[in-house]
Amino acid sequence: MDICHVVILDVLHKVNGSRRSSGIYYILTGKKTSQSLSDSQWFGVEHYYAALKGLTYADFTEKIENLLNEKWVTSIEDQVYKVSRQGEQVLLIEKKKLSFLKNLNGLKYTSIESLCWHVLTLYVQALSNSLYGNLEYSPIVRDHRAVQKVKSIFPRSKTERKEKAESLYREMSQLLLNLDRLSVDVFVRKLSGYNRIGSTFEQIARETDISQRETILRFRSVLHAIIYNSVVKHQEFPVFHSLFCSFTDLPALTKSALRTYEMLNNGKTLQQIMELRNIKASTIEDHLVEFAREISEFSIHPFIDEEEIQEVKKFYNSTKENRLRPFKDAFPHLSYLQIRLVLAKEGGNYAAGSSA
Amino acid sequence: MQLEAALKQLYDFSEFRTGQREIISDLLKGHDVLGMLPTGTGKTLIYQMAAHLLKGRALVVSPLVSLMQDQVDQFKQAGFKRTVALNSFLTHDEKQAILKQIKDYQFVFVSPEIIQNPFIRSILLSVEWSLFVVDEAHCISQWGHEFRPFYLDLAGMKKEMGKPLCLALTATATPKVRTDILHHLDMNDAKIHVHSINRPNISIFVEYFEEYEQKFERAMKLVEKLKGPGIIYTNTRNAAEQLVMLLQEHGVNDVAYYHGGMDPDERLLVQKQFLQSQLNLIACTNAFGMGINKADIRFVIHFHTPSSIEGYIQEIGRAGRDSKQSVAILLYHPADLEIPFHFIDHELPDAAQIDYLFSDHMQKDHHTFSEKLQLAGLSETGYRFMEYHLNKNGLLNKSGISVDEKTAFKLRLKQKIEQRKAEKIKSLRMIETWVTDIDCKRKGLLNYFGENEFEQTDFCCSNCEAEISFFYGSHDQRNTFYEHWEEELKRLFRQEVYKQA
Repeated sequence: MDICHVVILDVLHKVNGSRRSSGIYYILTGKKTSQSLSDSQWFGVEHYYAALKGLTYADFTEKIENLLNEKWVTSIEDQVYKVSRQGEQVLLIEKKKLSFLKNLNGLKYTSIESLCWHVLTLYVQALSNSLYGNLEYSPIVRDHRAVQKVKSIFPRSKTERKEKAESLYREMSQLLLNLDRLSVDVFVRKLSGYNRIGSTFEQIARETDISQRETILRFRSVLHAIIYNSVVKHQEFPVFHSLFCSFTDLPALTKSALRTYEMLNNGKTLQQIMELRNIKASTIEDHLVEFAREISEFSIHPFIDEEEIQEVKKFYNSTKENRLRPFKDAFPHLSYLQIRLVLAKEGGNYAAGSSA
Repeated sequence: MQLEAALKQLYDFSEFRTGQREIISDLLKGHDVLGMLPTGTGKTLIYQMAAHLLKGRALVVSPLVSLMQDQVDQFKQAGFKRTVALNSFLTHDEKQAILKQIKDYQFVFVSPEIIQNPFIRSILLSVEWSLFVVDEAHCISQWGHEFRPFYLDLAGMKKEMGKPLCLALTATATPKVRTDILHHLDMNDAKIHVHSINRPNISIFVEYFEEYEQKFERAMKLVEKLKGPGIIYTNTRNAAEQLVMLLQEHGVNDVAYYHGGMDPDERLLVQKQFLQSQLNLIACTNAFGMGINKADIRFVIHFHTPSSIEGYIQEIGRAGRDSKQSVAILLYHPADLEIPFHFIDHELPDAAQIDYLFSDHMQKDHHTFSEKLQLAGLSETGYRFMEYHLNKNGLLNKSGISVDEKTAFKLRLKQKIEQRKAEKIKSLRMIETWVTDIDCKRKGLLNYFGENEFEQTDFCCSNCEAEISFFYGSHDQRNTFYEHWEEELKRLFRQEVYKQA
């Protein structure tokens, strides 16, 4: 079974008919809109955000057709699908085989994964070659920022290099031993070092006899697990942490939202930011929702009272409602922004349970 | 002898290759130089050494971004760390960072387009340059096979830089093109060093096919028999991928394709794998090669006929840089040139596109040409061509141009386009004639570049009865087998060795 089918089926299952398939396509291909960002969290599918990067819409609809033909999903209205009983069973079985999918962390890491990978692979290549005394290797990464990063942290003395190699080897083995063999195999084949340039996804797919899409997802699942552990268990993984910390410390915001966040921190008011940047109120609102979701220190209290926050949460818990409209009907005195802020702030806890 | 000492010190070589010494020496004496050196004879060494010995900074104009990156890599690997490329691939922040430290660089690679940017240009002009290098200088001539209009403005740049020493380099310029280079770069008193394009260690084979499909069979057989590493050039990305798939189906695994449509990370891996001899064969479009410095390439197969003799010379020139006997094999089918012929019509703007650009509703909407260019659906080359000529005539961002002015300009443009097309068609006819000619293949190529005499070589060409079987053999397989991830991690970080020690 094509891995795309499993992923799409899983997302359709969690969204449970609350969004059109185009909305699901945007989540899976990682469209950077407030809607896709908050939806992915809202429905507890943030790990799948950007999982099928580069999939064309035509291919996507074809996959949906396949699912319909297999009777794993049914169409409840135009472009809206629910997973059938049969589909649920298939999903359960397939997901067991693809346990690595749970290590994906798309929403959090899509914006930094490529930079993190460039730093890691270049660092390993440089270290490995220096350990064997080969100074004339040709770097496999050109990304300027990654090169600068590796330069700035690369150990200077031979002793230091040996120490770092030992630590990194230990960190990597420890982490990889806890992941599934096939994904780890894909990941290590991708690394370059002394006397071996890493393989392309196409080569790995051929060598391991899995699809290229699956190869990429397996690779990313390992990469995401490494980044995740470098943050959460930074004491256990000091080398990983030193490679990624300058990227993982930044909140994962869209570029435009990051600008707004910086200006806000510099004491500008929302009104001033709108004027200075010549952006609409709705854009600023989207940014605020992003902050609520991504930045734990960002308080939504200036925008809504604690009492009302609790009311909205309560309503969510009793109804498991996933659409904004019913919230607005229940709390006509609250603005959409206020409701969205609460849901974004609490989304992680609540939306994750929404599929149960 | 001082130069030899520097050569030894910088590169640990004891001898210069053809032409290198004379050109460096002329530069050091303060002469501008036009150098035509055969492919693969180390043109970069010339300006590396010259800049080093002049203790100055060099601005290098290079036509292809991908080539630039390779050159920067090679410069750094050769120990010239203060090298950088300014091109459109950089983000705004990266460009800023480089420009801020422009003083710290010794070699700056630029495209002719990027120095049109007034801001970048002003920063470049704020520092002193001792050397202005124009690489692939044939791009300056509209008679050259890769005409790039913005090359025509380099003389202006040179002047604004305060006329530093100028070095124009090419591997493939006919006498007519060489005159053009001197003229357009304003190099009146330049020393001219022209060397034969002949590469005696490359045998030249042309094979004819009546059925296109037969070429696949032949290519498979050649790859199986020939001693590698090798390159197969195709006209299309599709054909490159198709060949690789066929080879893999036949159990040949150390092959990969390479073309402009690939993800840049993956493409770079393929390139480095080939350089490391992890791959024995690359199937590629002409996007691959210019900057590839691999000495031991034993064969170059052309699956399609290239669109010019110059292009062909460049591509076969990737073989045998270690001076060992190598072979170039062209698989010819009469339909080969249909694609390039077709391409000529689409490369430059056609009548409809020109008419659109000059159409009248433009004035009503107050569009400038600059805005309209985006909408005309031009090819990349066509876009550059139009942009250049509009800019040159001060029309690019002007509105309210008179009808007379427009009509006159339109006419001139159409003439220019027709001229360029005629030139391209002629160049296709030339290679077609050369392919089908029964005379010595080497002689045909040399004549094209105005050379009439050359030494007879062994294994000359298919028309001089050379035997292709001479180039058969097995290649040395490099042991890069990957066994198990735990073993591979240990190897990468050299863990076992440490434990023993």
